[in-house]
Amino acid sequence: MAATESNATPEEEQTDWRRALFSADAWRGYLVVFIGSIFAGLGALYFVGVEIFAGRVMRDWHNDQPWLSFVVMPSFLILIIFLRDKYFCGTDGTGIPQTIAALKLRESKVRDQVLSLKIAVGKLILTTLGLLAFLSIGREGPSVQLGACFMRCANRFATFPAHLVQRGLILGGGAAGIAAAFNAPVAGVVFAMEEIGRRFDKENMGTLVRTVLVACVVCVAVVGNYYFYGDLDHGREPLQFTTFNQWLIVPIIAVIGGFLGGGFSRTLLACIPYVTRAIRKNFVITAGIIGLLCATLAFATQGATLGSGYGEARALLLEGSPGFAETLPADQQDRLELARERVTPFYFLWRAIASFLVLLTAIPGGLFDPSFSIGAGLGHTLFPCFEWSGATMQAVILLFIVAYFSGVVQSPMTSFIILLEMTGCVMFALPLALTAMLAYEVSRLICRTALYEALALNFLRVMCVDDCEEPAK
Amino acid sequence: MAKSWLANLPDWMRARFTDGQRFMILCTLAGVLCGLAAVLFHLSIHGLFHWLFHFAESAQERKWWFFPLILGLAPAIGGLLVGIILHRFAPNAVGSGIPQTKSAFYNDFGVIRLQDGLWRFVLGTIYVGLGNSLGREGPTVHMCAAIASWIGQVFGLAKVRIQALVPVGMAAGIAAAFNAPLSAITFVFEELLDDFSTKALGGIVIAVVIAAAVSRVILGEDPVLTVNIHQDFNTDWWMLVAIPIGLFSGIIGHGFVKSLLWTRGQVKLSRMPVWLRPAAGGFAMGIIGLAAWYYTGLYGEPQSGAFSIGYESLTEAFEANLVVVVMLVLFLLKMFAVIICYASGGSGGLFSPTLFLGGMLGGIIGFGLVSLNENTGVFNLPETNQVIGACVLLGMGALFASIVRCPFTSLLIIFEMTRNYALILPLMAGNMISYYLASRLLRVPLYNSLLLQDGMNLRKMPAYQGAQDYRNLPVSTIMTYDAVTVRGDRTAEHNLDEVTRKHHGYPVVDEEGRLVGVICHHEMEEFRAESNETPLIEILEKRRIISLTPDTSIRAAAAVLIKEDVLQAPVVSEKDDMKLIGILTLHDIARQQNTASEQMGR
Repeated sequence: MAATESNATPEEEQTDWRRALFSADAWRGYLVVFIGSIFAGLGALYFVGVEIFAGRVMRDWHNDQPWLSFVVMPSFLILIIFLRDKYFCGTDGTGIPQTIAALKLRESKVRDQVLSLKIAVGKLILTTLGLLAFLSIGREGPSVQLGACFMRCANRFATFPAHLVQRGLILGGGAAGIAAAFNAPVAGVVFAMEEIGRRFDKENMGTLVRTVLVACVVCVAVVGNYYFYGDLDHGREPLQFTTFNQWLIVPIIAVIGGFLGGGFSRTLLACIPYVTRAIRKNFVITAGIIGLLCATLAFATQGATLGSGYGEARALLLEGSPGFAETLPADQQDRLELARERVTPFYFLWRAIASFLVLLTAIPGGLFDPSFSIGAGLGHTLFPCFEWSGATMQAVILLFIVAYFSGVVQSPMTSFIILLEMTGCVMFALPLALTAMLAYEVSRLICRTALYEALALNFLRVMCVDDCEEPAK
Repeated sequence: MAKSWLANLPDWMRARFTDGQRFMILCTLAGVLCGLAAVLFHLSIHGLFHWLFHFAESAQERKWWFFPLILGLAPAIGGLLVGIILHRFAPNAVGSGIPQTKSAFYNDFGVIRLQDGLWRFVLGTIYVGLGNSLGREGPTVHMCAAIASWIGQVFGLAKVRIQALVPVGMAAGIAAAFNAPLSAITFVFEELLDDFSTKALGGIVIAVVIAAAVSRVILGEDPVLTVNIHQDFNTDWWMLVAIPIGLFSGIIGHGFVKSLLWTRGQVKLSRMPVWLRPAAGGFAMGIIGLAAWYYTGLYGEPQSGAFSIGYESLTEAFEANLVVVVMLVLFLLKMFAVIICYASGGSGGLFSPTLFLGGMLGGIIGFGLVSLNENTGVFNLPETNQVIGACVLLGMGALFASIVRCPFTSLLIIFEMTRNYALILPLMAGNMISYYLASRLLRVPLYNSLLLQDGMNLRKMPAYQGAQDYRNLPVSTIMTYDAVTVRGDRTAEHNLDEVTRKHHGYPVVDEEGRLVGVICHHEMEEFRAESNETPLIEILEKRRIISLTPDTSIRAAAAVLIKEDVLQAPVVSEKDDMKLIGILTLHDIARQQNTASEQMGR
């Protein structure tokens, strides 16, 4: 673009920056972005709150009454699917494919349907229900879509030419969702570029970072600055690989994790059409069966597959950092202890099935947290196979998390940066990066199209074919 | 393409790998070589400067004036050597190296000669090692890009693959020079590629990891700058501190870029022979450096920070060992020194000077904050050295964001260089403010302005796009910006004499440079043959102008060209359809088509 700008005469340049900095229009624009991103942050924050609430109160209930899940899960699933299809069409799935799809849509009218305030409200209610039912769902997907909705709607009050800014706003909202959900600002930006936008656009970089910044500040102001999994390197030598043997396990873990992650995505994509058809036919029976299956699983594993899996993953990771675990308040330590007891050698498998079942129904809810948890379980189970290398269990778990996650969503950059930001072990960046990259390559051999992209394409096809969005007519 | 013994290998040695796998292997190789080269470059500059310094100090024991003499003249000697070599052997090794890499990537299909890289090494060592105040990152980038491109040429890769190796080398160079793998990746995407695709990512990440590993094995695991800042920071409070730092950095960064460009323009106009200019710059540099040395000596330990790279002084600033006057002096003098050195045509980069200046600026603001607190007692500050250290960090990021204009890299590079994650949100705030301010004050980023000043234009190609979607890209990505125009107020014959490069058609402009139409070469020749003396503007009055706007998609543009049956169309501004921006020709579309279909990268 260099020459375009060089054509601008000095006077034009001057008026340009005066307009950008001092005119009322410009300030209204900033205000709009500001407010939009505050709401995006608040949305993510709300989900954090709901999850914490569910993690405490619901966990206790389920511990007291193990049969509870047999009632709650099917009924809530049926309710969610009913509400979704009846009132909030377009809220289905994790929310990230929807955001991707919104960017791909050409007409702004259809875009309005995917990212409207109504969708945002629906997403809020339905995800809350899902989290309360203690299903195995993460909250990042809904946060992303919420953020994108809020930013997109904020644009209505500004006088920007829509086609120029919309991409940046949607990307920014999505990034803010991830960033605020995990307190991982950098990963949010990378995720928006790598996964949502599928391309690096420098023009939108400013909007992107500003949105993420405001959303993160909102979160930090309320819950304080924290690492999602805890500051692993607290009070000890930073985690890093020093010997050749330790580096040797990187490709092995990457292949295993990438293979399993790619397999998960591929199976999921293969099964979704059948379940969708079954739900169309009779949603009560289908959702009931899936809910009962989830409940049985939870019952059989003594509650290990309940919830997002954050507690289990955290317990496994913090086992290697007693220095940090001691700094936690006593009740949190007790919870970690309990979560640790729930992890059995086949934990990863049960968690994978639970997450799989929920994703099949396409209720609002993400897969980040469950996937991290699956990765952590894998690392825990397979650690004896890697003991020879001299790597600590924590390192193996981290590598498995990143490998599996990168295999599932196929965005390598995001997966290792998000892990860095969640654990704070900056010296471990290189092994993580290498693992993520290799796992991504392996996963691509198994599952050609990335999970989110394939889901987005499905969604686009649905949007174009049926017009469920017109209940008024 | 270079013919060599490698091209004559027996078949069984090359048949084993597919094209993609071979590319990956070459990326690995490039990572190793670039890592080694970057580390070696770092060590040789560091070694040479330290040798010079100790030599001067030991000479001081004999006669006190030996010290200023040696340190004062060394930059001039370096400048003289560099000036002569640049003039005679390696004109490409001038300046930072990042603009050269960009122009090679876009204009020459990424072909960079290894010679250029080698000269970079030698010249950078001489110039910066002898005390001139420029950085080593730009030259490292150019050098490593040359190495990667050379590997591609030797192994006989296709042109697109050679081009794809340039970002790989660039990233590996940055990763090794700064020990900062993440920011290396984002820098390549932000500065060079302008688009993000996972296809390009694979090779880059592998090369970066390997280069960083090489540099860590040799130089150790320590970050480039060591900072001791507590992790428990009161973030909301620091957000407020970031605001003045961001504002100041934005404005000062703009001033720096403007004065650099202005000085460079003046030097270009001057009548001094080209080979002598770096020497003159070096002479001035010596005086400035000595002034800084002696002046800071009045306030404690004298600082050599104005010379060479100067990270030692920056580390001191982090520890809050410098008084405010020292920081102010270092800031001002370093700024002059950098501008003079770069403008006079030396060989060295702008990364580390930017970080240095930013650090000093942040330190000054931090000091202001502390003294404000002492006088009024309104804030509840942590210890003084913590405050100043954190401000230095924020200032580095903010000035980097406003000068180099890579908002995301500026975040990551500070984070990686100091390994300090606690301040990430205030860092973001400061960087975004200064980036926004700077980008509104001056539209063209630094490296592009430098290229423009040299009359070079990037022929942008959306290099890494998949086959299906390239036609949805806007015309602005592929059009020719430096269109050859003809003047409407002159006759065809007059214009034909003026045209140096023959094209099929030309946009016609009036005296004010406003578009009045398009005319074909053969038409003008016909007019000349019939000796038609009317000015073109009158001939064109009746014709309809078929023009495009930069945001038209390539598909739509191609449709217009077909429908209207023309071979080229002028591209005009969206707001004003008389303002010519460039021209879109069939050649542009054809070039694009070929890049897209040749399955770039992996």
